[in-house]
Amino acid sequence: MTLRTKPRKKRLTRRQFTRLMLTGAIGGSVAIAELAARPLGLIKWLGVSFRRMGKGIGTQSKVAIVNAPSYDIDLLTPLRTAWELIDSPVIANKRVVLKPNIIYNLPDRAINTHPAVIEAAIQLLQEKGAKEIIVAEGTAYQRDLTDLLWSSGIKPMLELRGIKFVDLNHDDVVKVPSKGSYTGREYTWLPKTIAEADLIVSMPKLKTHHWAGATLSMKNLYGIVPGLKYGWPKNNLHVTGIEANIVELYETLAPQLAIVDGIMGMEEDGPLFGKNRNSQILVVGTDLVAVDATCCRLMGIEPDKETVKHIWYADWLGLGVFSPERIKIMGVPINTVRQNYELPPTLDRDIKRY
Amino acid sequence: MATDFSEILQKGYDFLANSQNSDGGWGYRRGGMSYVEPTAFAVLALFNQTGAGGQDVPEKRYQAVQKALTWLRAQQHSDGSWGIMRDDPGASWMTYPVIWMLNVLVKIPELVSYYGKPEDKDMLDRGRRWIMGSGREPSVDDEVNAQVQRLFRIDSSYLGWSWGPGEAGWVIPTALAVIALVVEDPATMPLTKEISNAKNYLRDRACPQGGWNVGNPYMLGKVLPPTPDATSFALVAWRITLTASDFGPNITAVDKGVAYLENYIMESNSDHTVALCAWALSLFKEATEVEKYRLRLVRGLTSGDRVFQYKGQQVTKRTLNGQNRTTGDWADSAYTTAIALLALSDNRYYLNPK
Repeated sequence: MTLRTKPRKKRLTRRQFTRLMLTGAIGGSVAIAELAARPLGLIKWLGVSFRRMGKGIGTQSKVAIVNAPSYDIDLLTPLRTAWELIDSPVIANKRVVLKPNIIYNLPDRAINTHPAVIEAAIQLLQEKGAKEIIVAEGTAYQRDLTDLLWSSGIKPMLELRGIKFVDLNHDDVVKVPSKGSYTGREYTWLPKTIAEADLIVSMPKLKTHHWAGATLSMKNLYGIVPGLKYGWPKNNLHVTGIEANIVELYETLAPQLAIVDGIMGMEEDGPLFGKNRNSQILVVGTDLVAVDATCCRLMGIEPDKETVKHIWYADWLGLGVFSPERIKIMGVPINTVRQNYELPPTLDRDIKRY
Repeated sequence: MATDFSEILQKGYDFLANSQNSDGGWGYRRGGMSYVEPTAFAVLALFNQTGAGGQDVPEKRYQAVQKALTWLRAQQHSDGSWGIMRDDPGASWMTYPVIWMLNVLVKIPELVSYYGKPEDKDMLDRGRRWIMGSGREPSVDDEVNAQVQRLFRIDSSYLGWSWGPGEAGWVIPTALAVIALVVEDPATMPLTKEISNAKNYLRDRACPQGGWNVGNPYMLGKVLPPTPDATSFALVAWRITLTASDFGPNITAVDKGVAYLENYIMESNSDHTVALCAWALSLFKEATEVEKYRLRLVRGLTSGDRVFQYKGQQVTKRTLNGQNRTTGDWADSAYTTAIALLALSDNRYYLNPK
């Protein structure tokens, strides 16, 4: 008689068990890393990490803060002082585009970059030997900005100085690859004036912003993309991710200088309906992440992951620095001119398309 | 005695024919790259008994329209849409003015005999289908609608048309889409539910003080003022869709919009804005009033230059130039000139003055 024995369960050998555990651990780690690296994804995250390492640890970005009590005084002198304090870019023989923030003309509200600050920047760049200076804007709320330019005083000043203005919304366009691809856009349409510039200077106003927390030299770059392609008020850029768009534009456009009009800023419900705040400063720097982080601190806002996410995000991507330890403040100490701006209202991101 | 604008119109038509790009399109400024919108508007301006839509007009104008139509026909995408220019693979709002122009072309026997092609009807149908489908903004759920109502005081259940697929509706694209889809005598037009909804959208987005802006009459409880561009396009859309059933809130919104433009046109420093305002007002006002606006458009500033102040310095400038007597253009722009010609003409095949 043959005894039928119960088939024995096949047991894993120790080696097989170890191999299985190791494979599981690696797979799990990759999955966790992929999740942690969102929205970039692991591969891009590794690229960013290498870039951050490449930037070096311990390097500091210089940001100059200078006093400027009002728009009626000579602003070239304080701006020149700020210029001497930073590692300023070479201007000689360059085609420079100044991009101020020009949005709406609401009487008595500090919305637009003041013409006196733009004028001082023009004078400074002329002193430094710029080959050509163009002032350009692609405003968000209307297609024809002629009346806004005259009523804001910008066009009269440009006429006096003989400086050309370009409406970026209706300029010829070129398609350029989007650097970083944080929005998923392979390329961005840019005005030819911008694509052909040797140097872009972002000239924002010191303001809070109800969607982005603050609107400064990086957010100001929204005004560069043409309305013909991205519509008015360019909410396409909100829908596809405010932070992702800001850092992608910053990386793609690579502006080399920021001059912030912080003489009269705006708190609470910026960028249009906030209250004026007299900060009496100009802020200048070549690392726009550091400039914007400093401006936030001047408004009493710590630009962390929750409040002004795009600045934190730009630092994390290695596009600049935002921590106070890595920013060398030149000129006026920050604590002597800091004011606590009222924060903008917090809005639900689900309705940002409006 | 009424002013005779025929010579001015002839010069304007000649400017369009002479300033056409070699590819058949027009740009926003002379020599600028060809875009779909100004090309469609230039053709619409030339579709006129005394322009290029009648007998005994210069051959060059016929040729200009033929070349422009060839260029535009070649740009239609397989989904029925148009991009903003030749190399743009994306669908865009510029589909609306092309469909408007094609709608006029296929409806007017004289134009069909001069310029029609067998494929025009199919192109028109495909374009209309795209407008009715992808051009409209996507709907939102009740929760988002309630939030939008609270923050922006707009009713997002009324769907407008967007600048690009998947985006929110805004006033200018909505107005252009309505104009494109209707182009009929209001008395006989089929009032589809989409057009009815668009009228509700436009009424809902009207600014409380009269007129329209991009589409946000309120921002977090604050009133955002109207702008002349959005108001002009919205009024043209109203003009072609107004019926007896609109008496009440719709007519009130229109009347307030007209009143806003009547004030604005006399203050504006922009030839482009004056052209837009005069075009829209010509559809609503009596002949004597229309003549006043037309004369302002043609002559510009006649009673001395305008004086602007900048930091105590005077800038004296003739900001509103009117038609260039030598070349026949406005602001050296085919787009502005086309709108000016629409505003000045009584012999157009569609949208006749009041």
